[in-house]
Amino acid sequence: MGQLELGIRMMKRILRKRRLNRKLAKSPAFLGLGRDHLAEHFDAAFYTREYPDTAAAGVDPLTHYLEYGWRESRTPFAGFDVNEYVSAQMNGDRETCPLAHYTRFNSSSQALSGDAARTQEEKTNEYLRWFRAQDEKWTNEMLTLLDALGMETGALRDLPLGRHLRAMFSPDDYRRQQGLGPEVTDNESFLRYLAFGLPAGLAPGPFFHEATYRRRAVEQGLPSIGDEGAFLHWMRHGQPNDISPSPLFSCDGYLHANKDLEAYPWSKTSHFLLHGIDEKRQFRCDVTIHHGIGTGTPNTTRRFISAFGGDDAAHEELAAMRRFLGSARMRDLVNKANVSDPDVTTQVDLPAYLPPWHDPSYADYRHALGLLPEGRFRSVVLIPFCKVGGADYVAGILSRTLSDIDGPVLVLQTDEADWARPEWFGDDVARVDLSGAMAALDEDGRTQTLYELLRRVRPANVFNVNSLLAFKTIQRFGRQLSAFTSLHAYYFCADRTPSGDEAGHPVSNFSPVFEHLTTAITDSADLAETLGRRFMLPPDLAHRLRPVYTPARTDPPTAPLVRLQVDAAGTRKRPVLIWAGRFDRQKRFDLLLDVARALPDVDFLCWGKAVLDPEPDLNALPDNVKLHDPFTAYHELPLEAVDGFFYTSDWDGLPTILIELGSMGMPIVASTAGGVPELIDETTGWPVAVGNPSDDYVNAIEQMLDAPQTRITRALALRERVHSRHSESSYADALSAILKEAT
Amino acid sequence: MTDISIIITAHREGILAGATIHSALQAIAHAEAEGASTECIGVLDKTDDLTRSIISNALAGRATLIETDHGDPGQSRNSGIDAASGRFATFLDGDDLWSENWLSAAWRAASDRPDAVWHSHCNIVFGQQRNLWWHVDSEGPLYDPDYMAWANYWDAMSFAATDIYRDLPFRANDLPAGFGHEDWHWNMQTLSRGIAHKPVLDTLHFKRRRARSQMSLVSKHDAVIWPD
Repeated sequence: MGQLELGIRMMKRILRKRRLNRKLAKSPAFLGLGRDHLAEHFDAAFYTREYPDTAAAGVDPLTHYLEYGWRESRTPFAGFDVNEYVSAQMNGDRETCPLAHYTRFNSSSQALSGDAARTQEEKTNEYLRWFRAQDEKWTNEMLTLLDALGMETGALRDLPLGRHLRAMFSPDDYRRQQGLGPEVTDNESFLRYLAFGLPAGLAPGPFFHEATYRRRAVEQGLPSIGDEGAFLHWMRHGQPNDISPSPLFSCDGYLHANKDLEAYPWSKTSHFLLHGIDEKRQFRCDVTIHHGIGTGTPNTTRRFISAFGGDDAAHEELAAMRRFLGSARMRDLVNKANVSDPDVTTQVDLPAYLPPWHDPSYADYRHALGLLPEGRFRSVVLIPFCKVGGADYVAGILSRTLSDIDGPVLVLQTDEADWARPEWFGDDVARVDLSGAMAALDEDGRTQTLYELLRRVRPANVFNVNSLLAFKTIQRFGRQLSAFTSLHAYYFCADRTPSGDEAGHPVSNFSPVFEHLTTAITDSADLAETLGRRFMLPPDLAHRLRPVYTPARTDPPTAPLVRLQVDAAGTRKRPVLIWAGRFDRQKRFDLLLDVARALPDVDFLCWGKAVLDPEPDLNALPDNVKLHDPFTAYHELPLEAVDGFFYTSDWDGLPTILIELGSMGMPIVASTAGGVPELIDETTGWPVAVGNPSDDYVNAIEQMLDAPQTRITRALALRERVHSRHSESSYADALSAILKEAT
Repeated sequence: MTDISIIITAHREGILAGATIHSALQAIAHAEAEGASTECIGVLDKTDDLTRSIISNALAGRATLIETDHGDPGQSRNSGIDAASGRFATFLDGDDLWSENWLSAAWRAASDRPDAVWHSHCNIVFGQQRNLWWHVDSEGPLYDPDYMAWANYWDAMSFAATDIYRDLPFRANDLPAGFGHEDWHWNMQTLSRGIAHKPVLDTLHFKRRRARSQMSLVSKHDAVIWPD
């Protein structure tokens, strides 16, 4: 097996190289074709002559064409009339590369003009040569790989191998048949199939149905199937004669659904396998298949074949439909109904739907459903993402606490894929990232999918922590959701627009969903009071507004910081304060600078950067202001070597930095933004009313620095307030009360 | 005992109900020619004069007519079942049509499997849309249970033992609360009790799509199926 693994590694390297070469093929503009394919019809010498600007630029002609030229309607080879081709053969589609279309379909004599026009027979022969060359090239690559594995390839060399084998191969079926685990990749599975399964006559997947092929081989008068087995017989005789080995696919049905392929000069079955599936072409008259649009949603045609390819009962049910559709019996019944009402058309060649295969939104929903873990969940916590913000931290502590006090929790991530702080959520909380599956859907599709997923999970409680999709879903389906689950939403302080207007979820997504909520949780009493006052909520409704103080996340030092700071004050030449925050309008870095200029004998150590707003001019800072990049952990700050913390925001909720520093025993001068006064008052710090001039902050700082004993008293009082109000146990008690009332 | 109770539910279909009755009479004649005994029940729910006039004239002497004030398609069907005396019952919406062989073929199928609910092999949609929908067998491989949570497989124009409809009446829609799709909900309820839904091969229903239908009303309310 050592040699096998070595070979597999070689194969991986080769495949990786090929993948890079085929990166181009991922672009829909190139119809799945890579550079190698496109180069076959591209005339570099002609292109360079015709467009000297590319030569002057020193750019590879084909690279230029693929990156720019085709969009500029440049001609890839002599005689190719781009505009006429796009108009006549591509329905005016300007989003697809004409050379790619020509290379793939190669069907238009109209594309060529003048002397370059060739006869249909010449073109057919050229296509067949190209098609066979591709198969030979692929076969050689595969045999080279098998040789590298040290496998005997003699039996394979006698077979008409071709790319259709890979297209027919079902990795899932093969792994299941062979008892292989998911760690065996699709490519490795295929290699194993070539090495071991194919020589033994094993079919590559459910597209090959032995009974069907045996019947069709007899009907078509092919040589009898001897010891070699049905699949190898199909490779030698059935495939070259374009005999479909699947009851799900017929060449007639494929051509009926794809009139543009009537002139296709080679096997329709191969076309379907190599192109039609990925191009999402229809292939049956009696069943229209539509595909989902979500990222990662599997190809529905491939799923249809996988589901029913080997299922005889499904074949019978489908055959009954096919027999009835368009039959004399059906036409007779329709004609009689037409007598009752001539609006019943006698034309029965209608789009035919077989649920659920017609439903693209179900394909996406099914994919999302498949992401959900097994098991029952008491609570679902909906989050937009997990970056490093305060709301993300709250979502984590909420999830962990719910898990501890009420049972299993499922976190559904709805808007973006960021998952920066898994430790905030812990190992006991299940998480599913739905953002990829949801990204391509429109708003109706996303809200319906989330509603149905919640209906499927049916938790006792749903908590939304800033998920925009969740707010929209509650807005649309809140009536129905609240029939089987209790809905709770977290609100944090509103943001402000440049003109000073409040914005964000408390403004946009409070009133539209409040009627459906059991609880509207706020992180400060101030926000709860503001919302209740704004909407004049009577007591019974105001009761739904519930401030729940966020617990401190860091373990406080045994000794309060303030004692260490006062004890070591003599070692500092000058008083030192810390300021930390974003250099955005909200945080008022400009106020810090005004205060620093007024207090030249105090040093201000600042941590932060601009995030939401343009960076302020940092070139003319006062000498007593020192800037640092944002910190990631509190231990990075010289907390014991300063004299206090300075906070200047104009608006806020109850900022976690004040909770954390308060928990450690830090003296604080702070503006009275939002919920800050619930933490910092005249007994726990030095509050300054929002909007007051910088002189008031200067006075507050001077008072704090001049009175070490008062500093100790107030910082210890703050520490005690945080420990009693912002502990994990008080948070759990508050949540328990909410859950109890929700039942 | 009558073999088949035919329940035609009407609201304000106007003269379209005439075409519906015409098709029903063709199917009744076909079934009676094959030996089935039938009774016809017309349920006029919050109807208008035109619809009442069309139906009472077209079914003169052949049907029991019931006037109701439900404003709800499922409750109308329940009222029809209350009045039914047949071993089997089937529903026809007041603007849709049956294929001539529907009653006779469904009667044969239901006689063999009276524990199942039977549907047309396919629906041909006409009017503002034109397409064709296959009905799958809930006992067959084409049935996907997950899809029933997402959308409905079968409409309400079914054929089954009357006792099934009596034991499991349709639940009223509550559109202001956001719950509709009484037929889908009924299908879910029957399936959850192990009652199969099956197509009657080679039969057709013709479903008329028009503006201001019950379905468009349900969509307007963003209504979903009852969760239970």
